[in-house]
Amino acid sequence: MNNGTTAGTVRDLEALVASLTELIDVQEKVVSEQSERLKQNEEALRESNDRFLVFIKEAAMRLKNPLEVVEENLAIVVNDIEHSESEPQNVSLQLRIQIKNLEQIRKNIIELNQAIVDHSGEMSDASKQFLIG
Amino acid sequence: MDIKDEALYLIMASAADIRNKNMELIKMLLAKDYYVLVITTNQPYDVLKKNYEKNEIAMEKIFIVDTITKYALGHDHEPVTNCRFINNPADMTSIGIAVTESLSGLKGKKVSMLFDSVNSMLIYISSQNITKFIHFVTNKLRLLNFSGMFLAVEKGLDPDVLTQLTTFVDEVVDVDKIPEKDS
Repeated sequence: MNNGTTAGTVRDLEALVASLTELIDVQEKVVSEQSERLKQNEEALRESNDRFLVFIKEAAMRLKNPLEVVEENLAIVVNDIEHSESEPQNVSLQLRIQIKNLEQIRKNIIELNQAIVDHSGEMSDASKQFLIG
Repeated sequence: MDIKDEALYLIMASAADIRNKNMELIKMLLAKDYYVLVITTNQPYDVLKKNYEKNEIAMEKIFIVDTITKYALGHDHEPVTNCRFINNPADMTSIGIAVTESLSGLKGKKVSMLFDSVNSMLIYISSQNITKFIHFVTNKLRLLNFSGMFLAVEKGLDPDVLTQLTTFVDEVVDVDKIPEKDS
């Protein structure tokens, strides 16, 4: 084997190493970018889940609990009527209050549905209209 | 229930019992010579007054901020000397002004405020704003050296909100867990 051939082989090998190094650099860059993107997605998902949990808890407080308030209020009105303990204008006022309470609870449900619709990409317009209409 | 002067309490009761607790607490406070400012977000003034009278509770030392009557009626209630009617239960600014003015009018007297209730207010106001409002009211009460009680149904509150509310008061009392005794 002559010196010229050896030098050529070394040059080829050096070029191959350089090319491989470049490829590894590119791969590292891609992996790093993908990993960063995954981290960001996980963070966004976690934040979104946290926000959703807060929202669900607020919704429970402003739906389940108020319905219980209305339920108790109506039970009291019924009891007052049955025992003739309330004057008609007071019965009427208490019932008006329950109507207002229920109106507000309905608005709170629509507000909840609106938030669900806003965070849901895969929903037909008809379904969206049903939830918030 | 024994209460300390100038202390603030969060009173937890069951949903079915909260109306009776309002009555019992008023009786107890009057027996201890307090003037009482009631902020009512569920029972209208006319019904409260009738219930108090039926239970032989004198109205002379009771002052009321009623957030619901005017809104439900859709028009003004005839003026009443010991009651302020708020237009809308969601209008925290107006409620805040009414509470501030009512408390200022009682300066120098032995006063307790009864807030009835956190749960019914949740129909109209977010928990975040209720927390802010209760913080505002407790600050007012402490500045004036008044006592205060906030009625709430425990099961209706998110534990995180409940934890926040407990930081504004001196004591949390679960009335369902204390034995019955004459006041």
